[in-house]
Amino acid sequence: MSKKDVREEQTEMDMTPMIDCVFQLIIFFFLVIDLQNQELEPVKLPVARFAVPDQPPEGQRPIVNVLQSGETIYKRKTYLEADEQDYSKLQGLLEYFAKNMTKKFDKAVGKELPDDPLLIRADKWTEMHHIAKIMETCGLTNVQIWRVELAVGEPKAGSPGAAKAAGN
Amino acid sequence: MPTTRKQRTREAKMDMTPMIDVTFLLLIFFLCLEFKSLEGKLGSNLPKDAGRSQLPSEPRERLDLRIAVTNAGTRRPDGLQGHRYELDGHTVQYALGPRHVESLAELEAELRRAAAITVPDPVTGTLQKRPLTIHTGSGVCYQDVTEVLDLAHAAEFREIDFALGSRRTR
Repeated sequence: MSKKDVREEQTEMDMTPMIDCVFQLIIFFFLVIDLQNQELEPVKLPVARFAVPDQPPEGQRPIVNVLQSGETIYKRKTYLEADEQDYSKLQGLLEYFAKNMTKKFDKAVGKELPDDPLLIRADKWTEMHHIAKIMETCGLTNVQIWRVELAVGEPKAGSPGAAKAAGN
Repeated sequence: MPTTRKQRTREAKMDMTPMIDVTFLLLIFFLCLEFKSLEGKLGSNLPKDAGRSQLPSEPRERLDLRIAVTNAGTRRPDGLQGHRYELDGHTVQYALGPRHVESLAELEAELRRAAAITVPDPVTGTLQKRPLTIHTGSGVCYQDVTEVLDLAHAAEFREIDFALGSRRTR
């Protein structure tokens, strides 16, 4: 082999590490997105003009979904069936949420209460008495979650809620 | 060093540029997804006074807002998802304190008028808006409540809570 041949010899790039890396990243993000979506059931939310766009919270904020039938779901697991009268599973869930929330001393009540909110997502035609049952269970002595957020459709661009969120 | 040996030991360097390009593009894409706002929310409170407390509490002047169904409406199956339905002709009426209101536009005006009235706080003595308590009647839907809550937020009520019919304590 002459010197000229050596100079013209070209090396092929090994694509394997790149493909490995890209596939691992894609798998990782697919899993992350899937875990995020586990909290959201497909419900038709009502639209609100002055709602604040929901940002990922700093602390803990569990999301409870209520279907039209009253079926109450958390992370794809049903905690209260439609027309079920036994609230023990739902109560256990809310007690678990309250236990893991940050606590703040409340002067009016004279004890520490959970300070993180609970987000309730319900279909727009879900009867309110189903949601009221969750709210009532929130008031139990071992739970006492008092901050509740109701999920609504994303405010459209230009609406007062969207403008407020943008700081205008 | 002989030329032939030098040729054998030389290693090819991998060009990292495409990998870095792709990785950064993916990271930017997924970071944008992460910070995307999915939905809106309306904040409210639940009564804190469930359970026993030995502390004395001062009575506070509150404003009650009642939602009552005037026509439950007829169920129409949702074309896209068979197990769900839409309600046609569902109507409600509102009562803000003693005043009955038929439409959301009237309610908005009433809420803004009521929000302008301030009362002294029983503990601090500072002038504040009255807390608003929402009462829901039979057949009232989630949408009916969020519409009212939306207007209450627009009127800048700071304390909005729900009256719960059969509060249970242990």
